[in-house]
Amino acid sequence: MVSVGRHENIKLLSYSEVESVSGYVGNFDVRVRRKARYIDESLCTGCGKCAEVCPIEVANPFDLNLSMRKASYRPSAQSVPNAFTIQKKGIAPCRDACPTDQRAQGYIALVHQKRYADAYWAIRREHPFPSVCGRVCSHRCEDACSRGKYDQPVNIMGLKRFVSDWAFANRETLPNLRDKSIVGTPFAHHPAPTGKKIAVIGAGPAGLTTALDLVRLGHTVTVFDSLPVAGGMMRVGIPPHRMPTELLDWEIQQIIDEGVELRLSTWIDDVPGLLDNSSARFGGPYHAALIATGAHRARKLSIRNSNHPDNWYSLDLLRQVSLGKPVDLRGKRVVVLGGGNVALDTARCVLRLGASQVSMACLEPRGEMPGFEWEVGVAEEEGVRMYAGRTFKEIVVKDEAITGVRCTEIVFRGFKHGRPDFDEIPGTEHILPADLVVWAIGQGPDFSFLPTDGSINTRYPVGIQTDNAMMTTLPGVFCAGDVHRGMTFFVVDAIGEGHKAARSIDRYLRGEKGLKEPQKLPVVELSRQEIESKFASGEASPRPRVPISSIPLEARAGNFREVDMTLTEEEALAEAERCLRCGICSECLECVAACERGAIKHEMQDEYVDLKVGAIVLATGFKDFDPSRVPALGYGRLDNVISSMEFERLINSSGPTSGKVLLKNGQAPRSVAILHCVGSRDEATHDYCSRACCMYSLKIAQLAHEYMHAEVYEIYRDMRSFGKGYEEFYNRTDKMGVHFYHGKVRGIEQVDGQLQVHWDEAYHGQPDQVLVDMVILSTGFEPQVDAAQVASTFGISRSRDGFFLERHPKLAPVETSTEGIYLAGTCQSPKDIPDSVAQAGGAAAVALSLIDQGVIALDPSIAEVNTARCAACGQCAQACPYGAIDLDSGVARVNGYLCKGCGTCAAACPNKAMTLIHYDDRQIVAEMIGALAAEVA
Amino acid sequence: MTISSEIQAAARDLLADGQVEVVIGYELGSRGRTRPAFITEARDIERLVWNQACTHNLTTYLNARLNPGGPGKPLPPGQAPRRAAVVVKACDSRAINVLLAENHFEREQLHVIGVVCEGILEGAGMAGDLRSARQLPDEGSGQLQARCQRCTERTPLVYDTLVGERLAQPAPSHPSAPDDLQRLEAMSPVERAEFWLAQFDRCIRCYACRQACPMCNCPSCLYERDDSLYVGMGIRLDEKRTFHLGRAFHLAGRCIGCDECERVCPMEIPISLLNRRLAVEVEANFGHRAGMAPVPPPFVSVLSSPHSGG
Amino acid sequence: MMFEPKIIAYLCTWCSYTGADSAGIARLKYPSNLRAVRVPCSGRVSPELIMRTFDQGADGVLVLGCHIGECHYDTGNHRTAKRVPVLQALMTFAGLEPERLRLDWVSASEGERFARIVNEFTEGVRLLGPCAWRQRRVWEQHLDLQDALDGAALGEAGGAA
Repeated sequence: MVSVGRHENIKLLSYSEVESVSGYVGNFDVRVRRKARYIDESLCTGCGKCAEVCPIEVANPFDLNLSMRKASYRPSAQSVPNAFTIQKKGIAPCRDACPTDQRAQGYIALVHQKRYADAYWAIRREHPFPSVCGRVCSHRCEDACSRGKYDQPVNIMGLKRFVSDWAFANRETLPNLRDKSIVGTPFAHHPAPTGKKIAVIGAGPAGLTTALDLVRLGHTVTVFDSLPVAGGMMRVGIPPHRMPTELLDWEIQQIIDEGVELRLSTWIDDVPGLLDNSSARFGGPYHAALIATGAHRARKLSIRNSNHPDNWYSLDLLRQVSLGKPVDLRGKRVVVLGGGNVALDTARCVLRLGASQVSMACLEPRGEMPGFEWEVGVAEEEGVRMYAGRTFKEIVVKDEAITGVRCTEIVFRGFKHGRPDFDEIPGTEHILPADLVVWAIGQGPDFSFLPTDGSINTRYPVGIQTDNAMMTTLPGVFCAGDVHRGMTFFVVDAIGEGHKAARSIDRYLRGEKGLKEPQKLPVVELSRQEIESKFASGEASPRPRVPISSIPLEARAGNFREVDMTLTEEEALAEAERCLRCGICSECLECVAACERGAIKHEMQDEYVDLKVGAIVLATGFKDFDPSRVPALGYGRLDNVISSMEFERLINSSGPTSGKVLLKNGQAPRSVAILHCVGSRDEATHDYCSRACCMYSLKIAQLAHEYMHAEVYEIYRDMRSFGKGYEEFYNRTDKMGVHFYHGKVRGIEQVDGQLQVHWDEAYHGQPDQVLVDMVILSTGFEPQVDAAQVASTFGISRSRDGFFLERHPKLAPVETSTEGIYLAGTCQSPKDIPDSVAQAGGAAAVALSLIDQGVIALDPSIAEVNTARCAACGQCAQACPYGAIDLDSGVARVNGYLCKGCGTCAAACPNKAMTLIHYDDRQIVAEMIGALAAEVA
Repeated sequence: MTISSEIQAAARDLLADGQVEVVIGYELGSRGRTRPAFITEARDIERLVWNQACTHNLTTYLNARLNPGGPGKPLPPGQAPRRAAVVVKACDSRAINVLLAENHFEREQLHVIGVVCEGILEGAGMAGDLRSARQLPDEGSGQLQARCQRCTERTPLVYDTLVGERLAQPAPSHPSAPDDLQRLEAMSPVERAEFWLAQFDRCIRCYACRQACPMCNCPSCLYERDDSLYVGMGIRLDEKRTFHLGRAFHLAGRCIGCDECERVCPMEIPISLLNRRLAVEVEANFGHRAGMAPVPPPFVSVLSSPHSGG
Repeated sequence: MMFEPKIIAYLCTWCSYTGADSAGIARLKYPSNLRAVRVPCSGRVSPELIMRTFDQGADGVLVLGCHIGECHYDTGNHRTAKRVPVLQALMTFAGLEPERLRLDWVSASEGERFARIVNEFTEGVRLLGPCAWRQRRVWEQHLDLQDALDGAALGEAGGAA
């Protein structure tokens, strides 16, 4: 193998498949697809550091799934070429569903390996605010999780929170570690300045994400916000019992530490002035600006008395709470109008602020409330009364004070064109008692700061109008987040838009050198079978989901302590085991950080190579018979019944057990039975003999006898030891003390932890059963799984049992019926190594003698036209399968290079102007006449 | 205006501005029977007629007029392609499609005068003495030819000038006409063999059938070779049978059913039965009917669904 | 004496002829009435050739090609699949028993199938007896009569021709 890999005249295209073959002998055009290794073969030294750091473990097919290997792997230590490969199936559904392209599968695997710092870097590569999304996200990743198809999705949000909380707890020591979140990205800490300045209006998730990305590219970024605190809605919209402020403040501080300038309590009233510096007070001129002002304008209905001062906006209340301002609602009865997450946040805040009675009322019926289903239940537990399916007609005021909200119950049919569609149920009018009404029916952006000349266009009734690159109608001004969408969505969406805006702005500023849009592989979909086989191979745990715990109800009263708890370390590890690692490689980029040669290239794509060759030799091998197809032998059902190939790996000192063959209970077997002809010479499976099994069974017997010191029993139907030295090998095995019993195995049963094998056709005086610790099944050979497809690609036939068909079993064992394509090895029929090598030599010799001549002699049997007889009717041209005939100057004309000599044209010609050389009409008729002249023997 | 005068008017225009070199139509012969006419001069236009004895398939003359060197053979350099006008009935017009599909000439070389036909009478094209020998009424009276009784199109499919009113699709098959095909199919193979041998016994290999057929236009006919490769030139019964069966096969999917071959046979052999049997077979197996469009016969293309064969 | 039909089989080089070879290698038995004529593709077999074969005195004609979709020449067998059934209809109409002409598909490794088809076909033709398609020349018939008369004169029994 090594000499093949090193030979200057041999080009080895590994990890490749032939897609198509066209042409003919001497002139084949072969299209090869080279699958992406994601590692540059020419740079990789095979050091294996990437495999060491890779967190993804999968069952190792080289060891027949008896051991695990990493997503970054080398099949064996002796592989040629000796480079590693990264197995990437596609992108996991969790990553596909996340607007920030977060590689959840990656950080979950790192958690599983207790590499929490590495998990934190993997998260931070895309996500600057994991503590927020680890608590409040809509977790579309979980909705898409493949585990959800089987039982419950993985608690991805919980795991993300676990990592971010760990990072916060270890924030003193983190800076001492290498920041891997920028490895493998174009970003760096404090890189060389580009000289470009960008203004970001709005220090929310979108604005800060864009700022962080841009500053890491070397641009100078100033972030403005009208509030006295940064963080946008994350900071002032999510109350502390859901999102403790110190974690967010730490995450924002990290962004400032990278060099972002933050100017709070600043209202930008002149956006165009940022660019042309007509408003110098903002520190311009800037080369580009980003509007990320969010949607901070709450709405209320204009029903009677809704302008009474005790009608509060939810956002105002939440902001006050978040900024720590005192709000005293003791003794007050509060009705919160609205059914979404903001209403729920508000209602639960109001409870904690001492209200005596808190109710929520909304249009939607109970099961269709837009807020998180689980949170509706928690709010009720805490004491919020839910009044779903109502419309609000009036705020009842008496003696200048609010006394209640007049509602009627409705039949709600949903929103049509943004307007609610419902019917009031007559006779259901009632008043919800209230001293204070808080409106949480929705919010939108505030466009009042935009220039009045319309140079920055809004798209009524939604957000600011942009093109696909997120640029507004004013060149150089971009837009991202809630203000772009015109209504609220989730923090994670805003972060995703922030990244996209950063890429667009970078391209706007640096043109070709700017960031490119990422290319994504297709999404992996696992079938139920694949999921179950991952459990079976130990790649994932089938246990149920670990839920989030909460502090008890009593502990929540009157304070803003965080209600939900982080997963404990045991819980996190248990949950991380549930991940199915759908994409295999998750692109966590640990390998990139570890590789000292820079050989890892995750953007690699499949490559196509077009080859022109004169001859082709197929040596595509065989597949082991799967012994589970013979249920009586108990493979896969009984312990300690293994296949011969599994034994080979186990006894191999570089195998999964370093050469120790042990039973399931860990003990060494004292006796082993080797059963011949599994999947061979059997009408139910394959009726051919696989030729090599008898000899390899003897080899196994010798190994078992010598290295396992066990009693060895060979149960055979015949002993086919036909080759040079083979009979002698059999005799030596016999003399060693291996027991040979003739028999056709009927079945295997488990008896007291041992295996009882019984058979028919025992020789006279010999036993017909034996009790052993371990059974090895000598499995036969089958054609490869894709033999039919390969045969079709190369245009060759297969014999009845599916192996490739030789031209003649005696006289042409290496040729196929297609000229120029030859066969070698077990793809043609089962055989052992000496026979394979001999056949390969034969195939090489024939292939060489073909191309060595430099010219190919083509078959002279081609079609020929008698132009005097030809009427140019065109039937021959129509009939030709190769388009080798055209009509020219009133006669048919045959292209000798394309004609393959089938003679269909000659048969189609009505007056036989067309004939086939060497098979012309005269010759065939003469043959036929001669054949008929003879009498029957 | 009668159909005859319409045809004459069209012919006059075509010849006057030199659009065509010849108008192939029908005329009354010296003995009063209708026969083909080849008008090249304006003064002869009056000869053109139309009547219910216009039985001939005039498309059979197109090859000779348009391709003097042979079917599909190019003209000497400098010569423009020839153009001809031809008077056709609906059945004849389908022959034009078959000839076009087989590259005999281009559509632009033709000016087709299509006549909406009410049917041709028995005995058309026959001289008076032969008519009385066969006890047929005078020309212009009597019953329609069998092919006309089976006809399903009255209006030509290919035409440049249409003469006569468009008629509605007629009902096929005169109900009282006995279907010879069915009668033959009901016989046993031995009876059928005897029937055909009895028919072919009368054949004198005059090749009149072949000459009358527009589709039989090979430069040299396979069944008129002196090397006897596929059939001998003699009058052995099986030789004659092979000639007729072979010719019928060559016409499968190409024969448009004008039955002129049967009409011109001096020995009154019912050869159209063979062509009709094959037309039924081709239509059933391949959905192909000859001459409905200028497409090649179905045997030269790929199966649309796999057959597992006999 | 049992009637031994003369069967001509047109076999395509790549599939049915090799299938016949496979039958031979596997020592499968099939009637020796079969006379094989090898052609490159079943598409080479024209209806005129088949008629000529009957004219020459074959009692049965077998045309065997590659399975549809497996033709070595791509679609050569498609053309045959279309021509032969129509020829069959014509010859049946003209009085040839349909069992005397058969089109079938045999692949290179199907030796057993080849033998089975040949067996079936030969037995079918045997039951039909000699093919009356070939009309002997008048003077050949005269020669037979002469032989028969000579035979009678010499006192031979039976007098098979």
